[in-house]
Amino acid sequence: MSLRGRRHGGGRKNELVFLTTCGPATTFDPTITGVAGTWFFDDGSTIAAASGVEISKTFATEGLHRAVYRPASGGLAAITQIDANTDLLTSVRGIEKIPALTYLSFSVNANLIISLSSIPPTTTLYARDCNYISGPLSQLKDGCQTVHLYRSPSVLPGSISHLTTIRDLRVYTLGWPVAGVDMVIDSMWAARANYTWATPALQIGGDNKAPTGNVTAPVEGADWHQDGATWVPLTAGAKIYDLAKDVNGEGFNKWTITYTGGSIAP
Amino acid sequence: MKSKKLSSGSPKDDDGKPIKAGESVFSDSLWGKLKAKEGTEAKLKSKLKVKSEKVKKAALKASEVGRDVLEIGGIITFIERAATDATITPDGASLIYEADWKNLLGEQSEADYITALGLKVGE
Repeated sequence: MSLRGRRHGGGRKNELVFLTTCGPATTFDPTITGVAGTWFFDDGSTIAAASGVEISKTFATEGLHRAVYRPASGGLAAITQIDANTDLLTSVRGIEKIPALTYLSFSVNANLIISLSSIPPTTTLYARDCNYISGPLSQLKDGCQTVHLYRSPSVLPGSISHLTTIRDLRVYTLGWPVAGVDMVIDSMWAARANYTWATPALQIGGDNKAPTGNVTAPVEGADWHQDGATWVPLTAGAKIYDLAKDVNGEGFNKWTITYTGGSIAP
Repeated sequence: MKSKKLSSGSPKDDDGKPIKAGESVFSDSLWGKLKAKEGTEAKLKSKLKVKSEKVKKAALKASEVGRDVLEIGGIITFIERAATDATITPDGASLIYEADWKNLLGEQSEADYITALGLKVGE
């Protein structure tokens, strides 16, 4: 591949390229599972890595360092899990070429710049405490079961109606406005019949704003309207109540929802 | 399914309203298991009256996040809640405030306690 291609194409087809600010006193120690491979570092060293075994690499100098992972066989498609939490990452390239993962952790990489749209389908996604993981929730791929994005303030609200297999979604302390919180709740309520897990849970509180309306049982008024025998939630607060209680006995899987709106109990 | 909402060890019927930080709600099922484990309801309640216990039921500060225990259908999940958070659960769920949970545990390990109650930790 030409240098031009390397510069602009984000690396070879069959490799992952990590940029990290790890140095002499900080360890680059990701784990890749599903296939053995070799790590190539910009200081000329290499590490052979067995599947599922954490490597341990420090660099003699401070600064931005390049770490390239090349799978031995099976290619990127053989990778099932990546655990790269707390590795001082600033960039990961090539990950979008992985067809699917069961586990991906980028948590606590404050300076990692990556878009949710480039993250492949993964059953579990941990990306909390990352300042520059960006994009709306609607960019998450279907198939997610556990998604932790809390305290990653570049994550934006969006529809999660497509995340029909979701079990545990934690999107608290993202500084979302009322409209953002409402957007997520509205999308859940619209898709309430489609979620497949028996006991799904959403944490959308912390420093996010409170949803519109009141989380309260049906009473004709601003939050609820009775249309014949059916109670219709009119606000995000009422929809939260309905998602947890199934007011009309529709038979969908009920949610546990934690949201901003409480106060310290006496 | 009925459940109990507790404040400092005083149970009352769950009113179905959102559960604020510092509150615990126990399903009848879990309350029964806890009573059996502690021996009597009085002993259970005394564990939940934390004023004189080593784990205080201190209110969370605004920036803090507590680790509360959610039980639905025998499955335990740990959820993080800030002081201003409220939680609404399906009927029959239990949500145990962190301080209450620590008082229930005493010196026992969390895993042992959960197993002794016949519960499981969710995936």
